[in-house]
Amino acid sequence: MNAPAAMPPLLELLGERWRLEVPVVALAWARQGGRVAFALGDGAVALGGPLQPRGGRPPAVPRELQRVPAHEGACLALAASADGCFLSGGDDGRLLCILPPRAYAEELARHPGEWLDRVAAGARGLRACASGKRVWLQGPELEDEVIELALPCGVTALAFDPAGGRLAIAGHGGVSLWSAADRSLRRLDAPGYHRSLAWSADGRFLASGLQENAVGCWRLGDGRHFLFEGHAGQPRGLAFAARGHLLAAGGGPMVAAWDLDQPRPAAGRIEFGYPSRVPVTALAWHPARAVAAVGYHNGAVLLCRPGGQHSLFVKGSGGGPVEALAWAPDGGALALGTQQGDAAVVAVPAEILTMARTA
Amino acid sequence: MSAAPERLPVTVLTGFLGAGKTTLLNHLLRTSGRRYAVIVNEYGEIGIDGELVVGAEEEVLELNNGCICCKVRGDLIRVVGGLLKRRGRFDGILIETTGLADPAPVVQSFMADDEIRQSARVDGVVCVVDARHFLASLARTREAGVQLAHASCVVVNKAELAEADTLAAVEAEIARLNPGASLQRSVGGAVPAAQLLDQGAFELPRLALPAGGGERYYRAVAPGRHSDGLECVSVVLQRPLERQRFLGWLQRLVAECGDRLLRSKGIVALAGAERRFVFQGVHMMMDSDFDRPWHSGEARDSRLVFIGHDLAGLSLQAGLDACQVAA
Repeated sequence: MNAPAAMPPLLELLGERWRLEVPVVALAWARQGGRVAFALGDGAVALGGPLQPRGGRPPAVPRELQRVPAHEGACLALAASADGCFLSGGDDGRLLCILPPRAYAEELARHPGEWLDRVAAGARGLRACASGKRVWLQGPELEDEVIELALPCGVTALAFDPAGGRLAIAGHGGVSLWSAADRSLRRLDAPGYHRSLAWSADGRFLASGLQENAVGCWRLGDGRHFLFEGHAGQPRGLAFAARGHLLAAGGGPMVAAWDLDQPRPAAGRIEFGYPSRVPVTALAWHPARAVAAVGYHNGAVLLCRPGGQHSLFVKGSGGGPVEALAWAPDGGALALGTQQGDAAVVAVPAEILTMARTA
Repeated sequence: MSAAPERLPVTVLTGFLGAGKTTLLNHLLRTSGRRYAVIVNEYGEIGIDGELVVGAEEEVLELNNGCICCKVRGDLIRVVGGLLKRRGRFDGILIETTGLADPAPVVQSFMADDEIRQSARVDGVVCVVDARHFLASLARTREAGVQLAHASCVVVNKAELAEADTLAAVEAEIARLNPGASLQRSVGGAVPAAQLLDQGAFELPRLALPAGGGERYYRAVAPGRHSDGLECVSVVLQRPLERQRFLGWLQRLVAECGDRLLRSKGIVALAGAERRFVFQGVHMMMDSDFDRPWHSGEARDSRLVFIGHDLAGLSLQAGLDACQVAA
């Protein structure tokens, strides 16, 4: 998969790349302030930014990353918390809050001997982390209390709904839904091994990626469950588009998508992306437009649009499988990280997003 | 594009409590010259010498794919996934299972999970048995036979404590039930690391099967006196197999009998194919490919081995005979 000769990948024109030489495990943009964080396999968190706005032109991307020593072994999970900080979990059993301006790691919780391999942070300040079959919740509204939830099986994914009051917890045989309103734990049963989660922007739909090459989705209002079977691989990069209820999943060579607003979503499955032989390993929808950044197993990253014939290269192949992709909250920049330690931030001008539609 | 890095080798240690798994594990850690991450499901009385030892609670999960034998280990998928994120600081993973654990879900986790399969591979399943007690365990418990069936290498430990005829009977029974496994005798788990590592036991190009003797080599299946119904059927066929007929037969076999078929392996001559067709499976999960071309002068026979419970009723020999092209 090589970039068309007409235009070099966007990264070379408007981005900065760092060869960190340790795997990028996860990345996140701060909810405000324009900073980005990369969680790394050697236990550090690398901070970049803030992005420098330049009037109507694309923002200036950071030139350097600042390494913050965080965990003893490896960072295993990262999330952006409500207060503009980052939350990281590691195999040293610590939950840390990384404060960007001071590049300082503050310990929020410690569970010796456990691997905190899932973390999530909600919009109203709740924080969650998981190890094995246990989930811990804390946050300003709980004051000093730490809620411990015992799940029937190992936790594979955590995700707060966009409003931040409900936490979805994935595992074998279904998803558990914890609600801050009444502190109840409600079970959504569906056979299979649920490995990833995604909420629609309005919180009405909750989707899960299944080990058995399938994608499931609950419409929470009436409890209806949709199952999309026969996916080309294990779903990766499961995510809802910013508007409407278009659910996309990688894992196969093309991105598959289903519109949950259709009367029969399974029948209306569409595919988009670059016709490649390698699987899609990461996907991130633009926060405002119907454009997705799509990362591939060979390290390439493209901008793709459902229904569009053409794709635009952000990064060519190399650096190992793309592990993480995320847009800055204002949609002006994209960050990416690979399993072999490439990290990059690319400014994406609004005109480019329009080009991706018409090219 | 940069070359894909080598997949991380994983060695699974199985065997009953007291057989000497932890002793063997420590021996490997001390003598292999490699850096290992160790995953243990129970802490025994003996400590583990490794720098990176991770405890995980065994979690066997059924997959919802219509097959009751497709199971994975949720704990291993999580822990191995975490270890892969810190790649480069160790050379391999050793997994010590609990005494009664079925190795199949361990191996199947590495076959079923896309992310893990891309970065790690099971190199071998080492089954440690106590020379004095193995025949009794095999007769009394299903687990002993299941562990033996999945082994790519069997270490007959505490050999010095067993009578000579017991030792001979143990080794004969192992060879009968799992003829493809290598056999190591040991005292105190002291097996040279080279004998246990780099087995490539689940890599199709390295698949080797014992040569047959004569026109047709077939082990009569007698319900195991010592083995709680575990049986091994080896078949050698001289005439090439008709492609569609054989693939259909194999597919039906694993789909209908995958629960009692623990392991299957084969190197097959398909009519009209210049390359060897090789397959190996764990229950219903099957990996197959066209391998290297047949060498000139090499006998183009087909060799297949099936290990499982109550195989006598499956008429494996007759089914395979019917797949051969006409003489």
